[in-house]
Amino acid sequence: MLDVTGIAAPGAWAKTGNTSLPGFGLTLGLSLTYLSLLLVIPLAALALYTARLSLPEYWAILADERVSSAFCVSFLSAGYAAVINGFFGFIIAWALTRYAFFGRKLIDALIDLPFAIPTAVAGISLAVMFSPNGILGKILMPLGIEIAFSKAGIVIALIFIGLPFVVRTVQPVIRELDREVEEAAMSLGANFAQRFFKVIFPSILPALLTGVALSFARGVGEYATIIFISSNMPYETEIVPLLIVKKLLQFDYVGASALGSAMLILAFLLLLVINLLQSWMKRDGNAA
Amino acid sequence: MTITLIGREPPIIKTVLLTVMFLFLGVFIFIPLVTIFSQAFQSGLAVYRKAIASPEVLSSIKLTLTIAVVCVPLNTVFGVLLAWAITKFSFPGKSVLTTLIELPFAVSPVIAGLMFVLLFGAQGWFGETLQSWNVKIVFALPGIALATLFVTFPFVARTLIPLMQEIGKDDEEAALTLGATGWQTFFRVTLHNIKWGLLYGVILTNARAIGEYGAVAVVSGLVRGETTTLPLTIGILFDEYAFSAAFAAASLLTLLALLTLALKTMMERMLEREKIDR
Amino acid sequence: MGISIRQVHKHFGGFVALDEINLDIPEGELTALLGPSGSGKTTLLRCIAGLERPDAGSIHFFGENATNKPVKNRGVGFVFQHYALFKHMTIFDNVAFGLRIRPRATRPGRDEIREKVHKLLAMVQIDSMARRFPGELSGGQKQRVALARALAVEPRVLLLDEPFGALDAKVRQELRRWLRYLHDEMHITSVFVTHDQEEALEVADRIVILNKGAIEQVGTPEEIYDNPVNPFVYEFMGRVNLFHARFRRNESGAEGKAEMAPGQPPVSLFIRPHDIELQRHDEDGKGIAAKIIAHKVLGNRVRVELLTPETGEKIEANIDRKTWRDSKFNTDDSVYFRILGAKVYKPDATWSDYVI
Repeated sequence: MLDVTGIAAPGAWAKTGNTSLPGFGLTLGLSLTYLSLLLVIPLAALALYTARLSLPEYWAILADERVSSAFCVSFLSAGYAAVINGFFGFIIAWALTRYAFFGRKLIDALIDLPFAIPTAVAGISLAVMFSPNGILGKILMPLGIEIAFSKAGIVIALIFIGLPFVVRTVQPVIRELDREVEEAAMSLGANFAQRFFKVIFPSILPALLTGVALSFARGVGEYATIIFISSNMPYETEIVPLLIVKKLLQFDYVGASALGSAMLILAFLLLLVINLLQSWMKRDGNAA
Repeated sequence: MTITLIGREPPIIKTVLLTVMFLFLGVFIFIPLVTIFSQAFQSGLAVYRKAIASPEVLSSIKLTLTIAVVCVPLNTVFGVLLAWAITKFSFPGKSVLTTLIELPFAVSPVIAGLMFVLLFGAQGWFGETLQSWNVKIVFALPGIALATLFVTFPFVARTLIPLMQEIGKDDEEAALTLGATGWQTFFRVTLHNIKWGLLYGVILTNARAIGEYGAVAVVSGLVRGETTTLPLTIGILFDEYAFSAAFAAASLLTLLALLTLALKTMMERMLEREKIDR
Repeated sequence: MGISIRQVHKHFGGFVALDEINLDIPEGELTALLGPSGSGKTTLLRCIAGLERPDAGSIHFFGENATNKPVKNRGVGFVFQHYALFKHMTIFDNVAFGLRIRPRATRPGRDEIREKVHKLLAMVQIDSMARRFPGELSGGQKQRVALARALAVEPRVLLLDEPFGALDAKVRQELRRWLRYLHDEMHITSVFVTHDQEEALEVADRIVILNKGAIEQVGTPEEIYDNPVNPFVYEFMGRVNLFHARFRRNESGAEGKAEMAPGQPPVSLFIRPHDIELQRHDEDGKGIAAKIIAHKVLGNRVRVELLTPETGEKIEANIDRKTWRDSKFNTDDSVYFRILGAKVYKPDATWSDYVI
């Protein structure tokens, strides 16, 4: 299985050395030019726009009640979804790697559906499913559970989006679980619960946390899946990316870039956390 | 590979976990898929056909394909260049570069769109200059292409980098000692070694380029029939309660997604096989 | 002179891989670069090939400065430890690769290429497999293909990086002998890297011993084996018993080689296990009493572990099976041993390099 979740193979950077292979100037030069045009200059534009604001002004924009409640909605929903994905993603990864059952390969392939299907398509499908007339909405509505147009809807959308991150991060680690270690524990008289909690789970934990963090990071930035299922009400179910779009529509570039840069900084911090988790995985020799 | 060892775990656990998995995937994978197709065909085949053949949908399909045709080759070529530079050489700042590649995945697609609006929008850095030249980037095809390039950039490079590291440099060095030039080495040796990984990256790039919504929504301006890609059109139709039409268009993208998954699984098999050969 | 290496220096980050290497590799000879892992032997080979660029120094090929020549123009054939065969090409196409990629002006004709490739494949005895793919071949066969491929471009210098390292013992033996035979036929200037002293002794005309990025000794196999210049080389070339200089001249029987005046710094005595002779009785009074604490029959030799009751030293002897049987030695026997040959090194600069 190739990694699709952001865990690079434990590469031997140090081995590369400066060699006689040709193309260093050409490939690095063109790559850097392309990356500058595509990534660095746009980033600089965002930074420069934000820099037009003084610190108190910047803070005032972020502290605005509508903005801060949007941050709350975005981060809380992403957090709930990531935790739920951690739980179910673990179960799915476990079942897919350790059990043989009919249709396993098909299900394994379909786990990546959220990666492959356009987010808007997933969004409208989930919105219809959970609408009062939808297949699941019809069941849940009489029970008093309202998902469409509520905060729960946002979480549902983010569970969908984030699921493969957890499964695909955890799966290879479960596959590589040292069978001998488990058998050693068995031979020492450990029952399944003891084996699981003392031997198996601790070695999966770094990967699981990485998957949860990736799912969270993706959820915080998600836009298309959410806007169709959410009522997008300010102070209630409005997420930060939507607020940025709304500010742009009102030509409030500065306000939009303030929110954008704040999101960017948080994304970088998350990336840092994920990198730390990954080096923890590698230290344990569990990288995919 | 499945590990089956008798007496490993209590059988009840297997039953419970499989049930939980099927229920969960039922809600999050199967029902959404079924919903898309049942909604698409709800009002009959004729309506479905009419919805897909509508000028609005057709023109957005055309735009979406144009975007894919522009973005996929560009990101493929530059992804390969970047992977070559990173895996074949060591240089200062390499780890910063590898982190930078991940950036488009870490950032909300909306922010990707925002950055290009800040650069090329009416009030953006180059807004006035572009206006005086009568060049339109934002709310036009170039803006959509740029935003798509941004969000799809990482796929090829990050598929190839671990693969090329694992394969190593022996084959390239062997070709060089036999007198091959750099280009000969790449086209006759490297390309064959990385072909499945490269295709894998291309398939993912293509899927995302066609399906992107957030980044494109911001730079598109939603001029109907002109700057609306297929996902954007689906969104507009849905917001107008034209559910059948929205889902009809969505079913096309869903089929593409399923095809993508099939190809992706195939590529993974080929990669796995070559890995065993190594 | 074939290859002249002058003042070559190479480091990777803080690690010095090659430190001021000066070496001449004679034309037409088969030279072994021998050393433990991390000694710089592969780096040196890759510098000769042009796969690594030295940080300083120069490399001349047949009098011509090749230091800055790109790999593809050096005229070297390189055989990789893991073969590096192009797995998407047939064996034939692999060997033909170097000829086919030449610019049109110097590229041989199609028939000429075919003829040449088949000739090479016949020479390495795998002509019948020309249409197979590398994945279908055994390790030994792959290594032959790799060699044929390297020879196809008619290199002036043939370089082999641990050519037999990835093969199992029997195939390794066979290929070693075959490489020697091939070299005798072609007389192409060749350099190969190995960490196996037996391999170097068996195959090479000349051995270069490397340690920690520096050359310890250069010489023919006999010179190296008989006269190791320092403890490192001695230890690297075979098993060794190390005696700290507790022996007095008359006791050791080492014919004056362990001579030392009292008060001088201690010296050590290096003795190969097969330079120790066992006796039932101390016939001439030169023997040292010991007890056999273990023995192991290894084919036609017997490895014997001795313990001197006096000093508590453990000594390894290696005697032939016949002597062992004829003298009816056995574990727990009390015996006497005599030292037939030993080497003494003064505790000078090379001393610190010595690792037992």
